[in-house]
Amino acid sequence: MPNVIETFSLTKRFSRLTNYRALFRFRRQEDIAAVDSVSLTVREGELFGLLGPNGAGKTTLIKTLCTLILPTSGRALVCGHDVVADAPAVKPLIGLIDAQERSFFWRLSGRQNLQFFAALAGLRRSSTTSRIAESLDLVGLKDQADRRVMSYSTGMRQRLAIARGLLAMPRVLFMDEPTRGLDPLIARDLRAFVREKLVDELGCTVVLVTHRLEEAEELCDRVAIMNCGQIIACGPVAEIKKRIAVRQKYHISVKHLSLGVLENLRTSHGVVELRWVEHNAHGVDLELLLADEAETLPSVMRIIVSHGGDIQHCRAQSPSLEEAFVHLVRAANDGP
Amino acid sequence: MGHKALAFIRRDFQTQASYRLDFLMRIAGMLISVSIFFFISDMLGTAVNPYLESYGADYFHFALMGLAFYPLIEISVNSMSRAVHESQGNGTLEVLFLSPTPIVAALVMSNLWTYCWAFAQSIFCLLTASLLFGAHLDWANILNVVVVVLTAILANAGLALLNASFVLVTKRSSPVATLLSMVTGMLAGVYYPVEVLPIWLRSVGRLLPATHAFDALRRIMLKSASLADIGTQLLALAVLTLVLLPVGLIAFRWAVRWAKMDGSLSQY
Repeated sequence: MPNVIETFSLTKRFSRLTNYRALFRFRRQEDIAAVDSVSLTVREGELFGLLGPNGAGKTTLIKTLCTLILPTSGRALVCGHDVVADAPAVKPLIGLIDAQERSFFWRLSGRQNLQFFAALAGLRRSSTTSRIAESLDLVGLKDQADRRVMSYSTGMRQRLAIARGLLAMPRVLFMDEPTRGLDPLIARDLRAFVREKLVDELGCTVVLVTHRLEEAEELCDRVAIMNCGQIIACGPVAEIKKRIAVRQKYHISVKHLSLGVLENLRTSHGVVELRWVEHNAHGVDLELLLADEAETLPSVMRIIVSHGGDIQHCRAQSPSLEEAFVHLVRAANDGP
Repeated sequence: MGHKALAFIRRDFQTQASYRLDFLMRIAGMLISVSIFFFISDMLGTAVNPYLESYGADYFHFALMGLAFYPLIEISVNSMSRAVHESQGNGTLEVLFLSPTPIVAALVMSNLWTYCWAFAQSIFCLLTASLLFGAHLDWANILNVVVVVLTAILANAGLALLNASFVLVTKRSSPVATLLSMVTGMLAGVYYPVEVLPIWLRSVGRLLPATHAFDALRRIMLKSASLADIGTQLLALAVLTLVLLPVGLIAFRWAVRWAKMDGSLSQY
């Protein structure tokens, strides 16, 4: 599949005034790198997740790709068009769904707003009415479409923003935390729509910025994790999780194990973390994080059995994307 | 583009229609203003007529033209900056920039309803004066008025873009726009003829498109001047367009680039 988004050492630095005294000096500004030498590719028809802590540079990156921010250096192509030199060619191909619900004409109804934005996006009159109805239906605003936006709740305005983003069915859709503030039912419907209709059926490429890691894990073909403006990991979710898989997590159910043995286990070589999740009259459920599976697991088993423990069940659990995320961001912040 | 222009007009009409009291207040305000100038003119009598010889009218007719068209001329200078400021405030500026519609075209279309509405108010003002106060106006010449108004809007477009550039960069209402409004009111012959000004101030006033526009509008409606008769004024407006419009476009382009570099399009 061809790449629809390519960035080459894309960098965006913002200049900020440090203090008022600095106004009188030549070196008066401090550069902050919001996006720092980012090189990535997004393939056509891919659902690409962009993750990262607050201030990681995710929004700056997608706004740069949307031609709303000019990069300081580097290059970015969307569908083969340079986002700086050829911005007019990029705009008809992209859409941005922003979580901010401020961007409407509050004295107009939801439908009137969508009619205006449909015209602005260059939608044909013949398809406007049906497209608006479809979008409103999807976000659950069909019955409230003729109410003024000023009477909408925050969640409703956010849903209207999503409906607006879907009007033109662009080739590349950037979604900045689209499910933030939505109730679980609407959020679930939106996730299903994005995956099944937009990506799988229509072949739209979606770049999803989200803080909900389970959402990224459920939806995305690939994810990139950003921290301090840099991409610290990029690839399929399974591959990213594998990066921290050297620390394997195990759930072991044991009967007839005295609690005194737990201290032995905790201090055993290779056991990074030990928690007992549940303790009842019949036994203990252990949760172990092991540094080296091949070496440590047999010795843990030996300790349990040699102290009279009866192992009922042993199950390996691969780390979640959230654990991978926390691990990678902490590692990046701690430095090499 | 016509479809988009209609969408902008519909949006602004719908917004305007939602402020019904505002509509009534404007109409009432206009009636009161016309009445005030009628009574001022009545008080002045023929005392000021020597200054008004070239317009062939009394003070009421002279002031009426300023009263009717000053809002329209002022809007042509301020409306783009207002559109940018409002878009910054309601968060729609990024959506405008993201659309395939060129931003200058979007700003022009954002003002179509404002121009139409202001022109309708100008005509209403003149009609009121004719019907209630017996003003003698050459209604047969109304198409020439449209030509002058369009030319004046174009001549002011450069200043409008300069003001919009200021708002885009500073996120504040343009003090230049306020200053221009005041200077126009003072030097362009809105409520008194420019002949009362010292010569050097008259020269400054000639640099304003509004001065030539008001002069042309009065000659059309009060002296039945043809387009050929107001050739000098139209030429002055054309020259000012050629000077101001490129400056405005360059400034606006620079301001857009600055805001995109600063990442502050959505800030206000």
